[in-house]
Amino acid sequence: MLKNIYIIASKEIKSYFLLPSTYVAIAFFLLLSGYLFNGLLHSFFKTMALANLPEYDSLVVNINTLFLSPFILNLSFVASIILPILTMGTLAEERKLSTIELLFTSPITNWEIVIGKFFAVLTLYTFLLTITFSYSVFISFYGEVEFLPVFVGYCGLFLMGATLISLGIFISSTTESQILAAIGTFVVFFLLWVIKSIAPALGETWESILLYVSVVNHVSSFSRGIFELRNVIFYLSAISFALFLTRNSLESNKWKG
Amino acid sequence: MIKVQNLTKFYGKTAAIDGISFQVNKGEIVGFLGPNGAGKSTTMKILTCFLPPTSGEAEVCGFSIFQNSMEIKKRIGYLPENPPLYKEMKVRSYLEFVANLKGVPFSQVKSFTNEAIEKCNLQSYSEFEIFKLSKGYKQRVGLAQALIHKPELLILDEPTSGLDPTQIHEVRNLITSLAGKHTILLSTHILPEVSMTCEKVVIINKGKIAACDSVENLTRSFALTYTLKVRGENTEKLISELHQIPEVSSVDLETNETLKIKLKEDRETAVKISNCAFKNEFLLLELKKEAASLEEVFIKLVFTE
Repeated sequence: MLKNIYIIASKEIKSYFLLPSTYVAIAFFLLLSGYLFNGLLHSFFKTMALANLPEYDSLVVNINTLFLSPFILNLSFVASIILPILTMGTLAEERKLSTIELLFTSPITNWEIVIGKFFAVLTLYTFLLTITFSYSVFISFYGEVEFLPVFVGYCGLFLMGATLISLGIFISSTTESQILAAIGTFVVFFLLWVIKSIAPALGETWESILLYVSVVNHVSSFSRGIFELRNVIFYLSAISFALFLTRNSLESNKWKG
Repeated sequence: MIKVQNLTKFYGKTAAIDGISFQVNKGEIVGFLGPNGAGKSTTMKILTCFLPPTSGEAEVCGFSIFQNSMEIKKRIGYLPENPPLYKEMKVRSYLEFVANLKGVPFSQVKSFTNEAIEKCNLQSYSEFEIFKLSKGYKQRVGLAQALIHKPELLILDEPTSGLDPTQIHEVRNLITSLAGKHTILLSTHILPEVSMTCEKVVIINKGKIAACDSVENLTRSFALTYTLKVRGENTEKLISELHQIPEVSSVDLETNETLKIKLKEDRETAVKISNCAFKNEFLLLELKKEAASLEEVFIKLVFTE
């Protein structure tokens, strides 16, 4: 079981670095997160300068609330832009190139295929998150950073990303065209952001339902350094559900022929 | 090795295969023949547990495709019509991946890969990305992929399709060289291929089995040509009398003493021919039934109903 997942995942990761789209996604991620970091840095320094004025001397500048938690929220947005590029080909390409025939006629289960693919994208995503973590280390030279809340924020980013990845892989399993998969995934992720922002306008019941469903919303409490078990459970069950759907979608392709 | 019983597969309302039954024994090289769309690929996909059949039962390597597909998958090598290649990978790393996938123990992956590369003559291309290879070499990588884990049974779907004549020749040699080590079921619509590589043929047409026998038996039972060697006086008269036998369609004088007699059908016509020779006071030197070509058998089975 574990061996097969490892075989699929490691092949997948190696293949990622042979595809141009991976580099586009990585470059885009780093560019956008760097740009947003820079923007936040400017406004942060402005606030710092204000805080140093005599009339504000009671003001304590907290890097965590003022800088890092908005940065983590920004990252969650950037992640939902680039993840469709990483998940689009996962199963759509296998179907198009009929390499799925190789997988289906090898002694491995559909679960192993799906979970292997999932871990491959997750590894790449974790690698990208680790790079951005260095920004927080960088900012700690300019003031006191509490690393525990930052770490909790990154846990949230990790879980949210994992959920988006499992959704993306599911969408990729439903089509033979990776472009279609990318567009579909992008639209779904975009809708998750849209329902998050329009929810408050729809009255209390709808608001609570939509906010609960919107995958990207659950990351906000993490970003403030609050670790809530119910959010973790939400993400874990969403991931399991999406992976379950993916496995069933593979199975049904098989029956349709 | 393969036992198929009453296998049926419907795509929507059309039956791709309709109640087929046949058997392949251990060590045989069996040609799976049929025109395009006869159901060859479908049958192969069912045998490799890629597709489930609508009804019927099949046993591969002693395991049922319904209950023990994992056991079957460990024991077969499969080359689909389009070789399943990850084009961005290098030949060697692709083959190592397949070896791992097929459950070759980690410690043996390297040596199994080297062996497959050698068998398929890919030594000078092992560090090439697959998309850079020509079609013939891609096909070889496909073959290497199928035999890498030394499976008991190889299922090859049109292994020579789309190749040029030299490549076809090479792939055929490769397949014949595998004889004895593996049981092989290969599909094709190129007839000479079968007579060159296979001992047994299964002919399938419109989803039904038209014939299943050794090449020798088939070509003999479908033969309709006799060679008659006689010595005597009036050959002209003999020819005209032979023409009067109802089954005879043509008589050609090949040499002075040899006649080629073609029949429409064979109903113990040999007796009538020899009687005819005796009646005309000819000395019968030889009467031999010629084997039909596989092509004749095939056309007879598939196109005349």
